[in-house]
Amino acid sequence: MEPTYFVHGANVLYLLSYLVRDILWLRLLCVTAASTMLPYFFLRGDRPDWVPISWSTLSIVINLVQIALLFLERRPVRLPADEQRLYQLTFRSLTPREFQRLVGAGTWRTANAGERLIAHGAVTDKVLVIFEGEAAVVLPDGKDVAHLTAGSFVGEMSFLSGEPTSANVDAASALRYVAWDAETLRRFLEKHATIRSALQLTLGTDLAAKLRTAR
Amino acid sequence: MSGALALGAAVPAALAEAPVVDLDGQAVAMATLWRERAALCVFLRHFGCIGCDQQVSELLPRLHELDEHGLAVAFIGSGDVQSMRAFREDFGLADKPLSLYTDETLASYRAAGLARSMWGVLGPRALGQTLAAAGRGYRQRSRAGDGSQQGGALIVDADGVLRFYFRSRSLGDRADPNELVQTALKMSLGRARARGAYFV
Repeated sequence: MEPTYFVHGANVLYLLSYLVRDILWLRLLCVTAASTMLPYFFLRGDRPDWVPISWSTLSIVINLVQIALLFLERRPVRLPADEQRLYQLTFRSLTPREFQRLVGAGTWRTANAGERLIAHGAVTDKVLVIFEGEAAVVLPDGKDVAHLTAGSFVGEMSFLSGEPTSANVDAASALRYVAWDAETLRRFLEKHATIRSALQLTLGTDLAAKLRTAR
Repeated sequence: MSGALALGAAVPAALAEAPVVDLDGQAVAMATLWRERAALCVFLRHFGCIGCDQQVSELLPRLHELDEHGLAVAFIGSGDVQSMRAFREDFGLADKPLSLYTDETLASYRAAGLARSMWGVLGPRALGQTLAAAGRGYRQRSRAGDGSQQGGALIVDADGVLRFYFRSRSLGDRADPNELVQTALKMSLGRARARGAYFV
């Protein structure tokens, strides 16, 4: 076969790659085009022409790595049942993948009835979201002022403001929740701006509801 | 940084008293923007600026959050009233929870300590920002105001105290909407705490 056929084939593929809008298809076509060019560089003279072969190979490798990352990014997210329920309950402003990352930065925990989750008078070092059960907000004088149920955040006011808490939060029943170390969550959100915006919306909605009823 | 304002301090009288013009062509003092509730004042450059297109487009989806957390939002440009009205039409701002003002004298910009520099428009940093913004689909319209003036953003509470301050060095610098919402959330929590609401 005439080596120039490979040049024509590769350039047709390059032209096609300019027509597609999806970056994955663009990269796939570029890899195919660059691979199609390789035989030409091997066959066009007496000896393989290693300079273009090396550059083409490098571009193929870079594109293959990016293609792999795109595949990983685009693969469907299958949340376990509990995570799916928590997602539906509270985190619908995030994409499932963002939610998966966020939950991955925290830990699933349980608490027995009566166990203290947040103590008053200190800036909280954790933020949690209740998955199952109920927690009571209790003022230092023992007055029970609010009950937080599944989907509610605990500790987020102190986390957002950096101010100390003014009440205790105790498990009013057996409780299952996801907890984030405050500093870890802060660092995580600094790195993930879109998750931060979505979480701000979620926390803001939760806060607005609490502040409307809190007296 | 010369002219920058201090967080946690009352805004200078020169800024509180600086006149800005509303859509009806009436001049009002800046202080009226935060008289009844805390206000986010976003100083745009001129109404046709590509950086302003980006800043406004990024803020529009967050307006309801800012409003929910107690902030009045005002965009301030430096063109004439006609160009301000055209800007409102272009961005479909008529039904959004925000107000529009303009200040052709730039008195409010100066009082807010904002930069005015051609380097911030034509320098390499500005050029890079323009290309990046254009690549994301934002566009430059015809100039409608002062071409050298840089923008910024302030959040001032109802007592006239500065809670957030951002000063652009070049045309693509803009306040991070996440930081603005975060400040609004903090202020909302501060008010709730002052009312005696439980705080966890």
